[in-house]
Amino acid sequence: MTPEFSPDFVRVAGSYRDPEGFVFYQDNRVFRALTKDGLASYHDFRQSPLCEWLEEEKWVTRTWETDDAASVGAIAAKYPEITGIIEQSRIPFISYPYEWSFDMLKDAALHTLDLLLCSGKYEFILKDATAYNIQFLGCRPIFIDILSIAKYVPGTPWAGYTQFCQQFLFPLALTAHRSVHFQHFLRSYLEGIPLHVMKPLLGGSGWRKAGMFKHVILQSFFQSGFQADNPALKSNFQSLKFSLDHVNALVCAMKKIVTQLHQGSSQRHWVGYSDNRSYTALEVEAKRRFVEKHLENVRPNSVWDLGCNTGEFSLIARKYTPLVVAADADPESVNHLYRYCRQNGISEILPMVLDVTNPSPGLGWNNLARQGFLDRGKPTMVLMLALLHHLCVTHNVPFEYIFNLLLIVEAEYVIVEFVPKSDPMVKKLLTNREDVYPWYNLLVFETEAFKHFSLVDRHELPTGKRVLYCLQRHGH
Amino acid sequence: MIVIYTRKQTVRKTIGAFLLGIILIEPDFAQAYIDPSAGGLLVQILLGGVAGIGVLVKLYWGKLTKYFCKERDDDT
Repeated sequence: MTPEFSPDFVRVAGSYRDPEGFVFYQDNRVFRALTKDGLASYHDFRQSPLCEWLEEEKWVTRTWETDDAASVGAIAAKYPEITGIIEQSRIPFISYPYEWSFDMLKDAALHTLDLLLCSGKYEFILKDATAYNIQFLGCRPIFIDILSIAKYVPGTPWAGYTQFCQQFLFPLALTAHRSVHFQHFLRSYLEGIPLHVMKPLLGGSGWRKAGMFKHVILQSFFQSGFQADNPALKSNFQSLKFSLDHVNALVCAMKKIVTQLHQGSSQRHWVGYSDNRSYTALEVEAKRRFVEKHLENVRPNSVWDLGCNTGEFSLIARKYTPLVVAADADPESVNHLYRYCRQNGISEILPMVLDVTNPSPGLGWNNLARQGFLDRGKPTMVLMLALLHHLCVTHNVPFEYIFNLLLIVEAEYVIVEFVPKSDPMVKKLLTNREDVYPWYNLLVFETEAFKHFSLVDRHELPTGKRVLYCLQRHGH
Repeated sequence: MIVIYTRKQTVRKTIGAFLLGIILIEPDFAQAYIDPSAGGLLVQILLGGVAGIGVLVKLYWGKLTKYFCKERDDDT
């Protein structure tokens, strides 16, 4: 009898490049199906002291061979090339490089380089250098693609060099040297910023910055002169007999360049927001108490703090939940939060650069290789504090749409702050625009809210302008 | 042996010499089909030390002689 597939079997849509296997989910667990070569490569790694060290230091995700014979049988029946299955620990929430802040991408780059240096000591190397092999456990980067760590083949160069440049070095350099945020570039160029795009973006004097002449100008120059399948290139290259020393020297040089890259300062409008807001310390305290009270009552499995700014309320939420996805459209605010969390060893918060009005869509092959943000999880609770007026007035989003979004993500609870037109911040938004928002008032807000949610608690802030709501979705 | 070029050949040689100057920075129009690692391989060759530089010179020398041979073939 052919073993049956578990009804929960889902092959990860983006896992199709590696000839040695693919990733699938089953029963809320993550597995890798391996071919004969993949399994042999995994055994090489598993049996080396490198694996033990990396797992202990939490540099790579933990893996183990599954003894579930039925699963192996069912997969092998459908995919004859599969001979083994390993399970790996699950990442609580997947994020992609185009949702990371500057220091997140920088730390992911340094993690990749450190992993390469460390692997080299045991005669291993990374087959590629894609940023998608890194995930974040809170503020700690972790390498998830175990199959990428393979025995070094003597004589070969660092195959992931160009990929590393395009996915890490170029986006970081773009932000550091040109003050252009890289997130939108990485969202468009899933393979990283190509050389022919990076070269003009670097500008006339950009080549003088550390490493840019070598890794952008020279690489681009060589790229335009030769094709990779040029027989002369191949034969001459083989005569060079590369070694791990060559690879390590290049990796060390790259590490030095990446370490020196820093995000340029801008107006930092939102970073200083919490110091410049329109309400009093008394109101801030009342707001904190309200949010904390309901977090403590609900103790959610996960919280999405939308429009988190520098994460003031995410830092409160993390005391009551194992996972806070702290999202904001401003990369600098998110970076500020990331640095704070990293310095203080906070593991419950995942900062993300994300615009609520334009969240990351499904991307890549069939728009499925990289999941859209809204498809990646269901939060128990959503925080929308000091966000509503930006959505409604700046972006013209009706209340109905906002509550629809909350229904789509199946939020059970929402803590939302209504900021009236009389508030100085809303007045500021309305200064140079026609007031075409007659519907932006408490009555319409409550009517829309109570169509899908019931009131748990309502609190007017001391000055009587801003109103806080804790809402629970009908049927929960 | 004295070689006498016709006017047309002289013009072609002059253009050839000019192109020689820019051949190293002339973009390859088949770029869309280039494996993106070609530039990366060459950077690593360059960083391979003295031997690497030697290989690079050899590669570009091959490119130049190929260009000359093509020119000569055209003339015959």
